[in-house]
Amino acid sequence: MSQQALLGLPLALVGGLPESLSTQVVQQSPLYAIIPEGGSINITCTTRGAPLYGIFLKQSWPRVANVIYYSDGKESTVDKRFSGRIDFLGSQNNLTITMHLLQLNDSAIYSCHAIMEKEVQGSGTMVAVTEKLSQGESRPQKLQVTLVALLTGLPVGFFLTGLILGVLCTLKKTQIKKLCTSRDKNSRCVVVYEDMSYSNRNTPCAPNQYH
Amino acid sequence: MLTCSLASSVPAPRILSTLLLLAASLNAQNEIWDSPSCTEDVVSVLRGSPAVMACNISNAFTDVSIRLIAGGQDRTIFKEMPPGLFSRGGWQLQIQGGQAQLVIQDAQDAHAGLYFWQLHGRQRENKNITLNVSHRAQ
Repeated sequence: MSQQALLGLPLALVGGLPESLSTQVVQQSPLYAIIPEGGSINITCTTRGAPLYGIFLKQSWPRVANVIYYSDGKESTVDKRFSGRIDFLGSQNNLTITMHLLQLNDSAIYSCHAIMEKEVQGSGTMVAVTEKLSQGESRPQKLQVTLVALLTGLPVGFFLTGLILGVLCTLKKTQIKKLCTSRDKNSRCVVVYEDMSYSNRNTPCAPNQYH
Repeated sequence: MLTCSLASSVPAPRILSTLLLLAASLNAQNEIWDSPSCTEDVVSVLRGSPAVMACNISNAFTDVSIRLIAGGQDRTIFKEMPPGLFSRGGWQLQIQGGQAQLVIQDAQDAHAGLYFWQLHGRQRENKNITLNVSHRAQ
């Protein structure tokens, strides 16, 4: 048998094997999204493996609840909380679920659940719905300004602090130096020694007038 | 002179309305969940005693299938559309509306194992019930 045939044999075997439970996978995207109130999000569930009977989108946090159920060619189910706000695109193997007019209490973790021979769960999508900002103010702009201010302000602050510390140290050093200098001057005082020895006895004394 | 007459057996507006209805039905959405509720996860009975397992849903069943996984084997014991009473090898399955009940009148070791229920109403969901058959203490 040639080398090429030997190399190709395992691949051929894999290709010929029936799909096992281990190949049943649900890929979900995106992993997270931050959406302003009133906005929309697309969550895509891609399922590998067969047979696939249908797809659930479920909320797993803060509470467990069904959102939608979709099956090709069948009537889909949409929870009343999302009534009129859900669109589907694609087939159950590659399904994009669009949630419109998001509200603050729609913030949650959403997971795809594929109903196959067993139920297979996707990685989940964390959706954070943020408050609508007032007119003229945009959250990304505000964040940008804050970041720029931090990036420029910090180095300037550090520089000024260093400068002030340096000046203070210099002043302190000068004071210390002056103090040391003044002490040295004091140490050169003239000391007078009085000779109290007898070596000067020959010096005549003045006579005593009162004898 | 040739004359051609186009005579359609079904008028165009009727075809169009049928197509529109079909499209609408395919995109139709309902808000009612099956919310399946089954007997406890593990049912334990003595050998020779009856064993009952049941699953109910809020909507009517479209179909029910039950597989038994035991001793390294995985076999389908029922795959039925309601309504009806179905019997096979000591098992009896009754499906009526949104209720499905599996009864074993005389539970034996061969009936023990993991029962994998696939419930189909407006949605499809899987539920597992384990049946333990124990011997009577002497």
